[in-house]
Amino acid sequence: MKMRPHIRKLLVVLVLVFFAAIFAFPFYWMVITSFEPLKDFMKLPLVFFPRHFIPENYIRAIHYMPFFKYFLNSSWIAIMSTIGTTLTSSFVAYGFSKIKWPMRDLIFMITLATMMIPFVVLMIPLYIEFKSFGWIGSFKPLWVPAWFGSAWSIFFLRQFYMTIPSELVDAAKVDGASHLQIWFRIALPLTKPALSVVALFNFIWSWQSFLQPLVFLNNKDMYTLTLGLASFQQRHGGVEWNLLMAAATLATIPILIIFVFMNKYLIEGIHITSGLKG
Amino acid sequence: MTKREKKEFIWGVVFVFPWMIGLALFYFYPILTSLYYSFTRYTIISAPKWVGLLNYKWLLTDNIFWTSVENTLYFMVIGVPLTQITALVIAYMFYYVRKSKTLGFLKVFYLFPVLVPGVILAIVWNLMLNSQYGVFNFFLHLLGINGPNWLESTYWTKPAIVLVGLWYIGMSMIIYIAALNDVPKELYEVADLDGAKWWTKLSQITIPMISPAVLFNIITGMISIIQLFDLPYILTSGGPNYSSYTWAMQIYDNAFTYMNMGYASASAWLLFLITFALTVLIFILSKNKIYYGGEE
Amino acid sequence: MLSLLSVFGVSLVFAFTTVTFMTDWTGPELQVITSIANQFNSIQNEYKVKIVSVSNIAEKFLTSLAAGNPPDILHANHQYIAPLVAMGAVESIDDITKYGLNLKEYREEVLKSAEYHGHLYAVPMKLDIFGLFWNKNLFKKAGLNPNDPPLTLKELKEYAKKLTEYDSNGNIKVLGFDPGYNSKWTWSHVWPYYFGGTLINEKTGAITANSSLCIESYEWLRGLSKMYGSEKQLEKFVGGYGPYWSNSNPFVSGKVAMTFGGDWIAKIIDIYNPKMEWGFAPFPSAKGKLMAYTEIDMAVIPKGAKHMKGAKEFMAFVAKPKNLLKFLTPVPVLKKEYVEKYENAIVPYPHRNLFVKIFQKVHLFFAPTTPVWQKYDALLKDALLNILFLRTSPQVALNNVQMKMKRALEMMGR
Repeated sequence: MKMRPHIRKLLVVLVLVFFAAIFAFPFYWMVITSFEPLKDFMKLPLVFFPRHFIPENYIRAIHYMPFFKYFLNSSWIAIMSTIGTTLTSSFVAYGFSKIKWPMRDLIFMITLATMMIPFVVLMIPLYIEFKSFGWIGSFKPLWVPAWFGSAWSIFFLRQFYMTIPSELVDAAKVDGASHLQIWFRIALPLTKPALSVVALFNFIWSWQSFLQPLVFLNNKDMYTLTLGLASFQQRHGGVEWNLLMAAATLATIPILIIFVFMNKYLIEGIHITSGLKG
Repeated sequence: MTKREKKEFIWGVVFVFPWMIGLALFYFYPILTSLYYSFTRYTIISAPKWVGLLNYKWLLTDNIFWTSVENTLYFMVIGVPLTQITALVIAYMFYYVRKSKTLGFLKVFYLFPVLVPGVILAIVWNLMLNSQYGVFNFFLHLLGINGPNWLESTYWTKPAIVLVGLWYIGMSMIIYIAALNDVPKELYEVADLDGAKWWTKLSQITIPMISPAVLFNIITGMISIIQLFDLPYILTSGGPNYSSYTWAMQIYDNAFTYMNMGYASASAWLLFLITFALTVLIFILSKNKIYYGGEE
Repeated sequence: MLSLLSVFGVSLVFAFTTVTFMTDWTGPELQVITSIANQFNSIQNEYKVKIVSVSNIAEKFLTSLAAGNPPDILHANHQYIAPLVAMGAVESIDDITKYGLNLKEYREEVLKSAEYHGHLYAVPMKLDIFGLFWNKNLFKKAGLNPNDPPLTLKELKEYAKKLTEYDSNGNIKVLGFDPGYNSKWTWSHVWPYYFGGTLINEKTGAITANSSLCIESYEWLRGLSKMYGSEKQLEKFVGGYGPYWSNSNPFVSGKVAMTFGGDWIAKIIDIYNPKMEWGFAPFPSAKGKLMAYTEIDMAVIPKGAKHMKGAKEFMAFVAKPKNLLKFLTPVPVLKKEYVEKYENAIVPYPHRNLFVKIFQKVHLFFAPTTPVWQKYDALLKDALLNILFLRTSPQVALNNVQMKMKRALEMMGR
C-alpha cells in the first residue's frame, strides 16, 4: 500500500480501538444492567447508561446465593487445576518435542485425539469411574486429572518448544547436560511467557466451566460460581436479571485480576528466541 | 537401537509418563466405554444391549443427522479460515504498533468476551442480533443497509453464528501475537539490507516463522468448531428448521433429551473419526510447510 | 445411667436417613419446597429430606441414575412420566395411600395424568394453567369490547385481523394473535386438542400426528400467518422480539395484542408493565367445550432409589392440602372442596381470583402421554414453526412428523 507511514499507523490504531470497543461492548452492557432496577431491563429505547443507579443490586446478588462460598470453591478448583496443568504439561510437552524417540508422533496423535470426543458422551463413564474412586462428593474430579496434563496445553507448549533452536540443546548436550537439566535450565525459562498463556487460558476455562461441576458435584455447598449463576434462572418465575448481572460481574473479578498480572506478558508480548540473540 | 537411541527412548517415555498415566486413568475407560455404547442400545437405566452396527446404520439414514453434519461442515469451512485470518490480521496490527504500551493495553479488551458467562449470552446476543433494536442492525442502518433477521431467518442463522464466533478470537489472537513477537529481528534486518519489499518479508520470513502457531490454531480451531454447541444452543436452539443445528447438538439431544445414549455415542464416534482424519490430513499437508526453528 | 441415656439420645439424633429430592426449582419456588422439607424434618426423626437444586436436571439425573445413585425423589413434569416408565426408570407408587395420601383430594384429570397403564407413578404438586391473554388497551383501540374475549376460533381470527397494524413500509407493527412464533415459547402440541383431536390414540398409544383434526388445527394456524403477511414480514417482526422475561416481551410491550401462554405471563406483566390492562380467558375450542392446557409439576421415585419408604413418606406429606396450597401458583391441584376447606393455608398470589374463576369451569388437558414424548415434541415444534412461517403445508409437515415418529419408535425397539 502506498500510504504514508503515519497515516497507515493511524488507520491501524482506529481499527484496533474500534474493534476493542465492539468486543468489550457485551461486557460493558452486562455491567450497566447490573446497576439497573429489574423493571428497566431491556426497556426500549436502549440506553448506554443506567436510567436509575441501584448499587444495592450487588448486595442482594451476594445474598441470593452463597456467593463467597461458591467463589472460594471456584477459586480452589481453578487454581489447583491451573497449577497442575501448567506444571505437568510443560514437562510432558518437552518429551514430545526435544527428544526423538520411536512412537513419539503416534502417541502425540493419540494425545490430540483425546480432544476430539465430545464430553457429553464421556460424562457418564467418567462419573462412574470417579464414583468408583470414591471421588464423588469431593472436588477431586475437577482438578486431579489436570495434574496429569491436558492435551491442549501439551500441544501448545510442544509447538513452542519446537521453535527453540536445536543448537542450544545440542550445545548443552555436548556439555553433558541430561534432558532433565536441559528442560529445567534452558527450555522452561525460555517458554515462561508461553507458560503464562497456558496458565491464563486454563484458569479461564476452569473458572467458566459448567458441565463438569454440574455433573461431578452433588453437594450444593460445593457448587461453583457458574452453577450459582445458573440458579438465578427460574423456569416460570422469571429471572432477576439485574442481580444475575451483578453476580456475573463480580464473578469476573479474578479473571480481570489475572489479566492485570499477565499484563506484562500479554501487553508487552511474548517472545522466546528473539531475546536470545540480543 | 543404538545405545544413544535407547537412552533417548527412555528419556522420552520419562517425560511423557505423567500424561500416559492420565490417559490410562481418565481417558481410556470413558473413551472405550463410549465406543462400546455406540454398538448398543443403552437407555441408561438398564444394561446396554448389543446391537452391532445398527446405530451407525440408523445414523446414515437419519436426515436430521445429515443436516447437522452439513451445518457443522459449513461452520468449519467458513468459520476456521475466517476466525484465523481475522485473529492473525488483528494480531499483526498489534505487532505493528507494539512499541506503544497504551495501544498494547487494548489487547485485553479482545479477551473480554470470555468474561461474559454462558447464562447471559442469550440476552447479550439478543441485544446485538435483534432485527429491530439490535446493535448490529443499528450500525447497518447507519450505513443505509436493511439488516437481516439474523436469528429468525433460516438463511441468516449460520452467518449470525459465524459473526458471533468472531467475538471469541481473542485467544487465537494472543497466540499469534506471541508468535509474531517471537520472530528474530535479525531476519528482518537482513532482509531490509537486501532491499526486500513488504510482501516478500511477509511471505518469506513472517509466515514461515509463525507457522507452528498457525498449525496449532488451525487444528485446535477446527477441533473446537467441529464440536460447536454452546453458541447455536443458546442463540437459536438449532433452528429455525434445523438451519443451525450442529453435530454436537445432535449428539447432545440424543444423549440427554431422547435418552438414547447408544445412538449418541455412535454419532460421537463418527465425529471423532472425521476430526482425526482431518487432523492427520492437515499434518500431512503441512509437513514441509511448517518451520520449526529447532527442528528435532 | 445419665451417660447411657445421653449416648442413646445422641445416637437417636444421628440415626436419621437422608432422603434426597432433586429439582430444577430455584429462587422463591425452591424456597417453598425447602420450607415444606424443613417442616417435615422437624416433625419426625426418622428421615431428613435434602432438597438438591440443579439447573440441568436431565444431565444430572441421568448421570446419577447410570452410576446407581439416583435421587430418592425426582421432580418431573407430567410429560416425562411415560418416557421414564418406558425406560424402566421410575417406581410405581400404588401403595402410597398407605402413607396417608388421600388420592381423592386431587382433581380427577390431575390424578389421571399421574397414572400410566393402570399404575400410579407420581404425586402432583403444582400446576400451571394456559390460555388466551389479551391486551385490553389494544382492544379498545381496535374498536373491540375490552372485556369480551373471542369465544370461538372464528371470532379469534376476526379479532386478530382487526388488531393487526402495519406501518407505512408495510411491516407488521402490531400482531393480532401470537400462537407461538418464537421457538423458545411455543407449545406446538396443544392445538390439535383445541380442535377436538388428539396427537396419540389414548388406547393403543399409536401416534396420530397426521390425523385430519391435527392437520385442520395447523391449517387454521397457517391461515393466521397468511392473514398477517409473508414469511419475510413475519420473520422481520418476530426477529424483533425481546427476551420473554423483560420489558421487550412482545405481549407486555404491546407489540402483540393476544397471546397464548401460561399463568406466569401475569407475573411478567406485574414486573415490567404493571399498568397494562389485560385479560385472561380459556383459549376457544372448536367444539365449544371450555378447555385449558395444563402442565403439572410432579414428584416421582426413580428406580434404584435407596430410601423409598422415606421418599413416600415425604411425598405423602407434600401432598397434604395445606402444603400443596403453599406452592406459588394461582390454581392448585386440589378439588374445589379441599381448597375451600384449607383456605387459610393458601399463599397470597396476584390475580388468583381471575385464574381460579376460569379454572373452575374448564376441562383440563395435558401433553400426550407417550414414551417418545421428547422426540415427538421436538418434531412437532419444528413442524409448527415451519407452518407458521409459511415454509411448508400442514399436510406435508405432519406427514413428515408421522414418518419420523414411526422411525423413532422402531429405533426404540417397538
